[in-house]
Amino acid sequence: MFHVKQRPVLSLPKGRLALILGVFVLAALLSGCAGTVGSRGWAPPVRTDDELLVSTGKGRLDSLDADTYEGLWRFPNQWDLSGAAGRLSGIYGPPVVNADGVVFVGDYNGYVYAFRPADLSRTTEGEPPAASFKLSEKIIGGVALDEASDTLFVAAGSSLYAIRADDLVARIRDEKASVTVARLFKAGGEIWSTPVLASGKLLVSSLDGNLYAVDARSGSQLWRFSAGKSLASTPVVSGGVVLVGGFDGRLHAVDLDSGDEAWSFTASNWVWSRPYVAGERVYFGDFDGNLYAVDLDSGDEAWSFTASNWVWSRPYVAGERVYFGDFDGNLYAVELSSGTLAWKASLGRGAIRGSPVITAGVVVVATEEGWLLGIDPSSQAKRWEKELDASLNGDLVADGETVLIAPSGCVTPAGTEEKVYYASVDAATGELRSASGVC
Amino acid sequence: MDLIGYIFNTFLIDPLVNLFVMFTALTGNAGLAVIVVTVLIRLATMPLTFRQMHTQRMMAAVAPRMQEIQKRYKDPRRRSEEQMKLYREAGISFQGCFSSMLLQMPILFALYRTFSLAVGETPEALIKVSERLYSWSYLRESMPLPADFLWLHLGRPDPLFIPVLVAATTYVSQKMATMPPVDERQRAQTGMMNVLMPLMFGWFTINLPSGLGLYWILSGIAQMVIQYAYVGGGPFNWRALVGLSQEPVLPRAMEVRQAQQEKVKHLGRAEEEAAREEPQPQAKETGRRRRRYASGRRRGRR
Repeated sequence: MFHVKQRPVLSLPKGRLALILGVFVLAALLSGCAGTVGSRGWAPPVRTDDELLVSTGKGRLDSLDADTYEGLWRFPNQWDLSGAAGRLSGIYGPPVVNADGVVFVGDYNGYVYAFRPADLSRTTEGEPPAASFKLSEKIIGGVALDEASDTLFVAAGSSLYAIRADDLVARIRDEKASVTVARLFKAGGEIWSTPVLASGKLLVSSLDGNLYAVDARSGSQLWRFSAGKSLASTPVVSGGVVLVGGFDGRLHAVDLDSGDEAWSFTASNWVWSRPYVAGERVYFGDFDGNLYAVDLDSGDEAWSFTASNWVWSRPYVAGERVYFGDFDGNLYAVELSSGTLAWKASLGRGAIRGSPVITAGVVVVATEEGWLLGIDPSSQAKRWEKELDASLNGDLVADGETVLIAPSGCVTPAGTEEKVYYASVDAATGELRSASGVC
Repeated sequence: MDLIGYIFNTFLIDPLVNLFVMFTALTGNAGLAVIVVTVLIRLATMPLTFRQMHTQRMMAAVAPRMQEIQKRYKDPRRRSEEQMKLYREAGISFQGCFSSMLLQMPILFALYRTFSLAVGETPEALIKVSERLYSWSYLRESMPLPADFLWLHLGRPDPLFIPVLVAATTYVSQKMATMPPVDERQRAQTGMMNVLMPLMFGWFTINLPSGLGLYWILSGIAQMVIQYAYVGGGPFNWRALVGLSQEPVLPRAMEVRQAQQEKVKHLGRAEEEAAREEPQPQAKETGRRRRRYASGRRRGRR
């Protein structure tokens, strides 16, 4: 009697198994580790009457008590949102709050949300409902609320939408409530800027290289200004002029009424930083490391100053100087009158992306590598510096003598095991203040 | 590690990103640029690919002779000498094969990394790409890249067609490289690999930006062309492709293999013949070596 030991047809020798596993791991690495650069968002903190609204992590919005910094709520975690609507992927624009305390916010996942924080205390069972409405594409700019007409304006993908805010609020209670949405306008390229409402006109800049003025009620195009190359930054309205920088390396000043170009100023590279208007001049930076001061009426250059790397952050004007940072991590103070360098602080703490602020007699600046520094504006002496170990890419916001910050996440301070989320820094002392109940 | 990262970024990824942006600007389409850059890089690395394929094929051809040597020579040193001699006579250079792989792998990985960076559609991705651009205004002005190609937006996943095409091209390129199995076990293993791997790659591309899927498809097609060129053209066995025949998809591959086997069949035989004629000294020598080896081991133990 012979017993034939039969090998299963699909049995694998070790070498072949290792090969399959190797291929699997390689493919997983390729698809995961070397994937595309994902969205995170850079919404700056927002101060309301008694709360601070901060995007404390990817696709997350926290509210802190403005006095105690106690975490009050977290969106979307504490709300009832199911399916894709519950998965936020990056908040770029600041949230807005209406008179009734309803918060509106848009996310990169293409949803617009409305929720009422007061519902948290009212709800006795489960999580309170939130309203969501899916627009066609990603939302990168913020939302603009016109309470007079009860309309929420949102740009998603290349379209500009008008959403009836009351309908969205009604959907909080009744998820089947219909929401009146009108696609006001479709641009030729994506819109990365927040819609700006001025004199009944909605102003949107688009990556198709055009600045559009759209009637806020009818959605009809009032005028279109063509810059030729992409416009990524949110326009600034000053007087009767709309200012917007573009990838054509120019700052364009466009008449708000007619859409005619009042003037354009040629920089040497992309202009993505939002211009800062102070007095008779506008200040802005470019991606060749230049800061320009341009006359608002004529568009003539008053002066220019060359930094060592890209200037993306919005300049900040205080007193007789303008302050700005570059991607090499240098902070500059330049005289408004002459454009001469007052001082330069080589911080060496990573790129400066957000706008600096001055309060309590200290320039506060944040870096991508997670450093916060307080610099004496007259002597450039470093008053203090703090390492957060979390990226700081959003603009800083002054709130009295405190500076509100929005780090990319919670950190574990040296010598401790507890995770904290820093929400502000005292400008005078550099003392960090953490929020409780966030991490 | 920082130095390696610096070299990898400065000499591979940065030039490739700039090349990709330049071709996108020239063609006005990122999809066409993916095609052009992939084809160019594949052409540039083709000699290396050929060399690697040749070495692999020759390795397979000398495998039977290698088994003979293993059986014949029990002394490890002598066996190793004979094996190296056989490799040398067959023109197999491990150094060459290894250096081909060593050169190709970083280039292909950098190419993948380039596309994964360049087709990203977030503002963060745009900044990351811009940081790598050389100071040539032509490149900067062409950003952000136009990402629409055919029915695809290269920065977004296409969960339907791209995974199917990735799986199909992986399957075909694998089948073209597959030789008839020598036994049932090998047949089962090869059959499973030919199905599993395409499915796996297809599955991975479901959630990846379609630009990367496009690159995988093009790489698969390039592999097919290289495979076809390597065997010197000839007919294409469609029945074998869909599993209706046990013959290879490229019948010419069999001729190439036979020629290679024929070439290596007589390698090292002359010495064996000579050794057969004088078996005594060989046996003595082997025995002496074995004793020396054994006594060495004993000495080592002490």
